[in-house]
Amino acid sequence: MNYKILKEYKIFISLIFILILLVFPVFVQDEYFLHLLILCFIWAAVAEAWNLIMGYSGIFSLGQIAFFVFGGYSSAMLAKELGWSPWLGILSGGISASVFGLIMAGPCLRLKGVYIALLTLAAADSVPYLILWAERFGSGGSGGLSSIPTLSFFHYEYGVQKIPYYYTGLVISGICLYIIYRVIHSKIGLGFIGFRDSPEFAKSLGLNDYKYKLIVFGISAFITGIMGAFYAHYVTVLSPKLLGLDLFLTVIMMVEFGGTGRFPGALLGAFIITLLSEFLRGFGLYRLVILGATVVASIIYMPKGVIGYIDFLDKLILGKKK
Amino acid sequence: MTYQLIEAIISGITLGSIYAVIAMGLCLVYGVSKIFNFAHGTMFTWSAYLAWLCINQFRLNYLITFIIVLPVMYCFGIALERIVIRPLRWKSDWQFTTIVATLATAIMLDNLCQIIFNPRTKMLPPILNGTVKFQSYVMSKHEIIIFFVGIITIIFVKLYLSKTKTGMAIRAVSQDVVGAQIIGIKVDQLFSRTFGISVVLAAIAGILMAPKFYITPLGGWGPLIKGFIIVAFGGLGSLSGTLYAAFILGLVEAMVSLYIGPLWVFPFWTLLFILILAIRPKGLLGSWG
Repeated sequence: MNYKILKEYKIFISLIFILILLVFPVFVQDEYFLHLLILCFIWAAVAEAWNLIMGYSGIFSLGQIAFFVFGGYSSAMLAKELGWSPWLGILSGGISASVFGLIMAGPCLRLKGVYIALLTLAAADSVPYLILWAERFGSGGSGGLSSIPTLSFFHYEYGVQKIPYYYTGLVISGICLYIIYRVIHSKIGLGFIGFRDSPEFAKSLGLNDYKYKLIVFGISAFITGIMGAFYAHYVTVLSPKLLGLDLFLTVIMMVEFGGTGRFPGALLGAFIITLLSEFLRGFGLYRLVILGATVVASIIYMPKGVIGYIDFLDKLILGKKK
Repeated sequence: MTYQLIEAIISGITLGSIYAVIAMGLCLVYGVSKIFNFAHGTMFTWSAYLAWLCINQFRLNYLITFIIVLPVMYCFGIALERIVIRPLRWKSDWQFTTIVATLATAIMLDNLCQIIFNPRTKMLPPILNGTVKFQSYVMSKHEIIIFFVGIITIIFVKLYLSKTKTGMAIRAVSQDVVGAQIIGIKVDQLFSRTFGISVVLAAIAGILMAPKFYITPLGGWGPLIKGFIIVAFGGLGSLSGTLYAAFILGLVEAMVSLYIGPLWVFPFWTLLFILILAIRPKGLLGSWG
């Protein structure tokens, strides 16, 4: 029976996808295209971390970009001011972002729904002030940080080359995505879903909701912070403007467009939206208008996101209900 | 010393009255439909731009501007509700999807604003020029007008909610949607009306604030976030809580800008917000779970 093989076709497709990504730079050396793919890797992990907290745990955290910026800034400042190796910086970026996430989670523990959204939004909006205040420690203030050290690997300087960054991004993002995948399919992940769907029931089974909330904030902030730090060392420029609406909307759109609460959803969304957004750059000022309209339309007419169509495809191929 | 303090208190109360008008709109919509309208700030900006169009381009006076802009914004609000929010309302996950949808709408409309009116900041003349002197205190007439219009609007909304039939229906729906439907209130219609009213409130605040601050395409986000904090601070859906919160936070803003510096207003608000939520997770007077 080849039916079983057919059932696993998604795994084959993802393997082929990964293989294509692995050998891609061998065939295409166009810098612009590689740059786009590196951004895709970064946003895929960030969006999936957001999906973990919003889609799987049902916590409306709107402060994810703050984690991203936090990770980026701490790594960049450690590298610039104290001369730390960027690799250590990336790790400490993740750690400091998750500390920030846990601090943010503290007041959120007793709150529900929209209150969490507002609190995280307000906290994220306070981060630019924090950056201004931290100018004395070398945060660059409102002008932003520039000439952040690039990565190097055993005396091999990356500089402005795209291919080493491509593979580093692929590996880091892959590890982050794998962590998220493992978390979702573990007991903890089931706990998240339980608290999303029925908090009272989950509590009555003896799960500690404070613990789960702290865990989800910690993991999600950690991964977002690591990607932020990688972004900082890749782009080499950071500014408080990152906390503006542009990025916020773009990433939330990836989650929504891809499909919330499903694993590869936000990942697919990240690839589609990053490429679409770059494609729309030619429209200048109209870009955000078009993107905004796309999101509204996609929410209204495509409530389950891209992943909904994949489910539909699934049904078509396997011929049975999921 | 005391002179400065009294001036700060006066400006705090003025700010509070205008914040109350912004936040009341959010509070009404939230109370009735449990939706957080992220496009509220955009409505604020758009009404300021429309007022600019009326006053600087067509040379109308403020009274006529109000008469023109408010109904236009009311229709705008209803259209927004019909197009963006109604298709999502009865679907699963609506709490999340409406947040994202209104957010996206806000960004779309803001950028449209930037394209139409170009991103340069615009300025409106004050409603009345000059200042009023009371003993040794000097106040601009415009601030006095802001204060009175704000207070009148608040009283008007309060009366509207308690005396008229629609107002009572709004209160009924905010208490129990299903119950209101059973006794024959047309909930959908009421939702869009409430939306229209909230946009009109945003428009009043937008026009009043425009001469005090500059008009920029992204200028609505500050008031929006502040409005959110006020609404949650006072307790979601509780109108009197919102009013208290608006005046408290307005005074805090004036005090912080006097003693510490205007840059610190927002971090202070956040801190206060976190504190109040730590003590009372449902806000000052919140009752909804």
